[in-house]
Amino acid sequence: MATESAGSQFHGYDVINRNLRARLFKTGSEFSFGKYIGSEQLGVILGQYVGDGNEMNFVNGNPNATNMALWHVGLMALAKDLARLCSSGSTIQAEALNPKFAAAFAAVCDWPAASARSDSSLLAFWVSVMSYDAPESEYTAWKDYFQAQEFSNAGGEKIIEGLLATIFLNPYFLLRA
Amino acid sequence: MQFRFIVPVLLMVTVFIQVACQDGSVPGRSGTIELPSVSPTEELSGWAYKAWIGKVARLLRNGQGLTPADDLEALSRLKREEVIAHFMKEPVFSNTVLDFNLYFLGLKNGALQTEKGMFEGQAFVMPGAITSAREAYSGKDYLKLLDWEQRLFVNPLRKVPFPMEGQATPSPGAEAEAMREQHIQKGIASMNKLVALAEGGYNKNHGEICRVMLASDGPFNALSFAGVPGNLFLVLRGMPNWFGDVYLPCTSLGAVYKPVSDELAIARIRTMRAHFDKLVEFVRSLNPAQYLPATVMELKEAPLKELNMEGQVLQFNRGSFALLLNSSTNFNRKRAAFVFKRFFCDDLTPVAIESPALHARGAHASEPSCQACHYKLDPMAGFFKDLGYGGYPFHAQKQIMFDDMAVTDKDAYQSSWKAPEGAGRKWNIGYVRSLQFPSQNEYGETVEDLFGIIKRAPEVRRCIVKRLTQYVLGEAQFVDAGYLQYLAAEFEKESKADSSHAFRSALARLLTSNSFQQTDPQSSVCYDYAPGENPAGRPPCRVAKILENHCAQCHSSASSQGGLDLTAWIANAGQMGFKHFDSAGAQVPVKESFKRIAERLEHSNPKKRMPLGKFMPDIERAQLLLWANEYLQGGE
Repeated sequence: MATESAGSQFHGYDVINRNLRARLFKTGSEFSFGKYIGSEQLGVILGQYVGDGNEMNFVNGNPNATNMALWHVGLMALAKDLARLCSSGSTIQAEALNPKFAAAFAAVCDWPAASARSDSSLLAFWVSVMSYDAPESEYTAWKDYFQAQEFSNAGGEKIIEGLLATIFLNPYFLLRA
Repeated sequence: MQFRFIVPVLLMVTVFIQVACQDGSVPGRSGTIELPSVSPTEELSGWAYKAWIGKVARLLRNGQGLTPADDLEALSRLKREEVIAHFMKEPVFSNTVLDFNLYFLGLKNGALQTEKGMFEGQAFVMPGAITSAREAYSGKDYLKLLDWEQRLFVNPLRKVPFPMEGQATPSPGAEAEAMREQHIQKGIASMNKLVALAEGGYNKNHGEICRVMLASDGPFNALSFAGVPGNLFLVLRGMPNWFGDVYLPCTSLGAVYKPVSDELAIARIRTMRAHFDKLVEFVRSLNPAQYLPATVMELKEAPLKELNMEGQVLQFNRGSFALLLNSSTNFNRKRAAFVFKRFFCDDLTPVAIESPALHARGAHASEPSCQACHYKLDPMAGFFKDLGYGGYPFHAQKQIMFDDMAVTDKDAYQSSWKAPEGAGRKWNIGYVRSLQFPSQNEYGETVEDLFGIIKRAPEVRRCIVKRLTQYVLGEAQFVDAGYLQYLAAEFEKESKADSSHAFRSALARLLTSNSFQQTDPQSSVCYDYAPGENPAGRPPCRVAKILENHCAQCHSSASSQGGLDLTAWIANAGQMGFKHFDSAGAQVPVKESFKRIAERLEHSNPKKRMPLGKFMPDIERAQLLLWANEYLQGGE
């Protein structure tokens, strides 16, 4: 039998929705990731428990073209919507963010200021979204990538969109460990 | 500017830093939990330790994980057992236990709560799941999960009641509450009307009584429209001492449940009336304006004694029977298969049987190939023999009605479970472990007896541990059978004294296992072994312990009968396999060796079937056989 990673299935809609709500928003927030994929009903395509009640099974957990595309569309849209908080036009109220994420977010909005690009700002941002779900090497690779010269003149909104999207689409964020 | 949106995974640097072995100190049960020493676990520090804390938080907080309010730096200064104890003390841990219980019962859904304060309907299908979660959190008896008689915990009322015919859906708030009260008042009025009608002659007024009983503003339907939680409604509807005798003759079950005498009916309806006000009072206390439980510990319990329902809330209720339908041709096998799969972890993989001639007499399936499952499925199904349509009891009826509405003579139907002359028991109903070794079996007659067996059976406690392992580590993760056996043995031992402590301990062992702390676990690798086990040179971890327990006595290096040593896993012509010599002393090719093993495992002749003359649980036989067949098809 081929060796297979136990973490090769998506966490699924419910877990990701809950993680996003808990990490980015205040307790009791009405946030729903369903808004970014068109409907909560589509959550089943992203991995969900279904059954007749007598036998419930987790379905659509294996990545395929359809669910990967839907994750991509939804998470990119969420990243873009959040990033707009640096300027205007976001559908999210800044007051809805939890204070820890809001502080990390605000610091990076100032990009390309040195303080925004600092290790401490990026670590706070990473941990507030990813928590410690990924190994340190993932954080280091991500940080080094964005601290490269290529992004030294980028604006805060665009950078935040990229910072979030790369975390959201990281396998350690999306897949079961 | 362009972004590449997937950060390449550069190096999977494990930051495990091995430090001097922790002493596994036991903080005791008062403030924390006893953390047993398992197989040597790598010590973690820094980032990896925080990652482990995050994983533990996610599991023990039912998916919530760390929040911005957590002081991770402070948590990371605690020892692992202290971290686990910290999260187990939070009331939300009771939600994790419920989530696991639902997983164990095959009822797990995505999110435990559909909205703030509202638990998923599945959580109430088998009431033992909630009772046990509360017990585990409070340090009481976790194994109430397996009790037949249960307590009744309920959700809040629906935020907005259902409108009756001609009414518009009300807005939440004052309008909704006014409609709710209207419905409740209609229920009270109907209840009073029923008393008057019954006192005027139950049988004479039977038609009108049924009309009032079944109307949308009838006593119980009105409460349902008011938003009463489904599990409470279903229980009320099934109460023999509340409703059953006078309600069932009004329904489609009237074909079997005939109207009772005036005397009994009046007594029943008066009892219902006497308790109806208390029921209404309890229903009002479930108003979501005051009652929104965030955790299992906050769920309200129905005062069964006050409501005259004591001893009437059972593990299988109307909700569970609605999922386990029994047609007139199914003979309760669906219900039996559910019990096997959920409580015994036996998915009825056919592994053939000892000898069809020994037991094919008069059972429902007489074909030997079918008997591979039916020899145990049918006796298990018999426990449900008195329960017909919707799980309603038909003990006192001459006929029985099934979920497909067919009606048949009850004695004729139940005769399939009659034990043969000289069997020493009335019914051939029981948990059959073996036909060859009848002393291994346990017999009974009713579902209550079945739950007595479930509560005693070591297989069920092993099943809890197996499911807990899958719940924590993932279903795809291989686990050494010896490690699993070790966890189960500890659970078995500890649960005799304190089942809640045993559950927490088993969970703690898994949370501190090597498997759990892997960042990228490989599903086919076993990361943990029982203390003292040395996996070097052993057969693959999936089956090594099963071989050791059931086969090694005759097939080891000391006694390799048939030239086969099932303890030695060696390379043979580029493939791994057992040491297996033919009569000429030549190594048998790996495929041939596995083919012979598979044949002997499922041979129907007791003289050839392995292990020879010894009992081996079907689940382990199936596990071994599946592995051997997989190996034959591709090799591991």
